[in-house]
Amino acid sequence: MNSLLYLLLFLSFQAVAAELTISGKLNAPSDCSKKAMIWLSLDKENYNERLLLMHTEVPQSGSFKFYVKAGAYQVRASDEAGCEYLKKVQLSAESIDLEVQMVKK
Amino acid sequence: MKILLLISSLFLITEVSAAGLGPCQGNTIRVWTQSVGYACVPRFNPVQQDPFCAYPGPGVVNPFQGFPGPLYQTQIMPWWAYQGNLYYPNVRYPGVWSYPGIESQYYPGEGQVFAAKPNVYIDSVHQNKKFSFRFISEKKPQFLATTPTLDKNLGWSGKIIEKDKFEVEDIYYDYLFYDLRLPKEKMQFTNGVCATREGAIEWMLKDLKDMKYSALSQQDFDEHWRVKIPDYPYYCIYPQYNRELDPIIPIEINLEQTTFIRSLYVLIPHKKEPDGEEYQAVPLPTKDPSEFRPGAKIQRENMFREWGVAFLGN
Repeated sequence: MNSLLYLLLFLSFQAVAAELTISGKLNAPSDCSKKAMIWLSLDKENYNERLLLMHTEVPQSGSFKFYVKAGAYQVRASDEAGCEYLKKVQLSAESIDLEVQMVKK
Repeated sequence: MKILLLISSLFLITEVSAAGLGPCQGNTIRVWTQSVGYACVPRFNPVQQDPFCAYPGPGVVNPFQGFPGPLYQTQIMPWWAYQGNLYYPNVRYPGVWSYPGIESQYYPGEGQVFAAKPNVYIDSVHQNKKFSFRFISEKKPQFLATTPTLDKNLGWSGKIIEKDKFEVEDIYYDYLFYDLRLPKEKMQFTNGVCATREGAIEWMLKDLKDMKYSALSQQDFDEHWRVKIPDYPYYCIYPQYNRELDPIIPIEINLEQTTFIRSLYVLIPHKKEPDGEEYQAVPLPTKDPSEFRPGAKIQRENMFREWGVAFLGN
């Protein structure tokens, strides 16, 4: 009985500990827009497989957080002025915090 | 004239070759951006014909054969929709999609209802007033995304600025945003309406207007959901108002003279006109939802209003 309780406790701890996130803060030079769209997709080269999971609009210096499963992702930022950012991330056990540094193309 | 056309053709064909891209295949359209250059991406509207690529008929030589397609817009879309379409095949869906809903296995947590983009707006009499907004359910909500990030108390705190903005950690936000998964069994699927896709969008906009949502929030709703609601001919809408949402995802707003109006529209797509005589996985709505709509007659100093659209997960 005790073993079962320990197992349940362990599993519930795992469930809590397993929360994975990709967070970030937007940083854009003055010639970029005041807002950017942050996109989260599967990390795939092929367009048709690069499925978009979520996206959120973030103001300059604003912050965001995506809650994800373990896996490989692309975090992209783009804005109306042609500024961009792309980072490929692999999450297994630890969350990631990004500095989303936009670059004018 | 023929010589002139021939010379023009050769010139343009050279231009296309320089771009390193041949004619776009069916159901795709040529676009150009500063970062990517030319690319073929799926059309937003697959039934729209490209007039310059239409074959003029048998026995007629098409002088434009092999020319690049024109750069034109099938309908007015927000900038982010065009950019998103360049990078992702499913930008016109609310997430990873397989009819009739979201592909749940790509997202963490549980809950069959994917509440996409609840946005929280403020309409206040104050130019500068402290506030805090906290998720207080016993069990931590299954978030999928937030902007800005939540603090350690699962909330946002800061100031209401210029009557209609939030300031959180010194940054101004037009709205607070969160995505989350919710349990389907705690939602209502009796009150609602069924309509065409366009009719459904118009109905939801009118519903927001009747609850006195701000012009900005209505505009954001219109812009976002005209892109993100998949292109099926019919939808049934099951509005979840405060009556349903407050128990499922309770919120505490620490500010006097405050009202929080909530509306989350669960959408079920239909490939043909919904028929009450046929089996439906989700029963067709039978009651007018308007009688359950939160009242908007009493205005208080701080009116928080939240809208969202949700889809079921597969």
